[in-house]
Amino acid sequence: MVLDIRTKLLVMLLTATCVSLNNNVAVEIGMMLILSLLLILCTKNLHDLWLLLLYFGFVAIEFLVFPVVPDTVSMLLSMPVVNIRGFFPVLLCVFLIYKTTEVSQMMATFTKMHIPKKLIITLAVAVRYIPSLIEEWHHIRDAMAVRNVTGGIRNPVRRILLRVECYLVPLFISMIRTADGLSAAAIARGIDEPVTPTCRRYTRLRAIDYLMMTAAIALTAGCFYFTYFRG
Amino acid sequence: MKHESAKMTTRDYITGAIFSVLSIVCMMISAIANMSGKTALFYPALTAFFIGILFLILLVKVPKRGIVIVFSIVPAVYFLTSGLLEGMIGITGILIFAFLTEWILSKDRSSLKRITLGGLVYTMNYSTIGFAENFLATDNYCDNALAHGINPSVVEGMRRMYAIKPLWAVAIAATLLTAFLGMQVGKIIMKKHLKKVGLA
Repeated sequence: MVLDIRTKLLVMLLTATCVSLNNNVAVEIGMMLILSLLLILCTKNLHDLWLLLLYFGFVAIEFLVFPVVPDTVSMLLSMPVVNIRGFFPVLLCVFLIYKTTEVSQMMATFTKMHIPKKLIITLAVAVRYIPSLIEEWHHIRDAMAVRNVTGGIRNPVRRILLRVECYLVPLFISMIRTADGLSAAAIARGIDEPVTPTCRRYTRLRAIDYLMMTAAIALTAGCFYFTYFRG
Repeated sequence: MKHESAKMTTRDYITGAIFSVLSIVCMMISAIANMSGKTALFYPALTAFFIGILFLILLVKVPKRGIVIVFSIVPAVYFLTSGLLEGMIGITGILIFAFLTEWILSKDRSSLKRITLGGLVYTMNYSTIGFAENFLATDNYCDNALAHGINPSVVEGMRRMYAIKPLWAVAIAATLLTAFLGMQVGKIIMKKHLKKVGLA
């Protein structure tokens, strides 16, 4: 199944709204199941269900482990477990957008929607830069492990400061160089041309998109109704 | 001498976007503070420290009108993941402070003092608008946390903490202090490393 970026963005926004309105775990589990099904239909990869399994792990901790552990442990872990669990439906939507949307398609759709070019460039670069950032972080971590940077230092404050410096400085240098590389590539592709680009990757909203949007709006309206009118 | 255009170029937008992504990473790392009711008070301060470093380096690298707005775009989109109403409040907050910072920087973008002042104003968003619900609608916020399943003892602790209104001023002061410290760290990194390799 192929969904338009607008549909996916609307689903994400409405999911976030439902999560903030909803207090019922059963509804949240329902949302997770629907979104996981959507993710599987879009990516056709069952491995993407790891987020759902992780979510059920958090649910199990909250409802099976917390009632039997001492109250102090429950107090300590309550906020992280509940907060992270509550973020899962939105995380699944972000994952769906990230895994199934190509940047060129996103740019074409946003251009057709008359979103300012500057905003499109910023968003496109942001989406493209995330994998590079993760890769860079791994390189820095490996380099630090090989050189044993904080090996001879016993003072914990100095160790932390040195670690922060060793992570941040290469990251900043890499960021600035990446910006240069990306802008050269973007200019070569004509991103800063004053004329409106042709949108070869643009696709119109299809029946499945309208169906998904209607379902998402209906589910959000239901969530709103049950929260405010049925208590 | 190389003369750069006063208007933002594609390269500047890309640099701003990359720093903007890193600011989101910083916000996520700082969210560790939100893992307990008591330490949540210092989430804006922790965020401000990292944002301070990024802000100073970005403003020195791209001293142009509009860069603070570009820097705020990705965090603004990130706020949308917190729901329609909360997201709108978050976006409004970050944009108001971004425009205010642009206004402060409009007269002189070369002065480090002015950049520091701009950075202090920019990071204020996290402790003012970011904490508005916690301190102004404490009962609503705590009832919501309780309904979402957070341990009642933790929620009671939060209710007592947020009832002490001067703590809001403490959170704002801590945010200003850490933002200042972050910008000092940014200056050190710039002088010690980035200038040496010709990147600042």
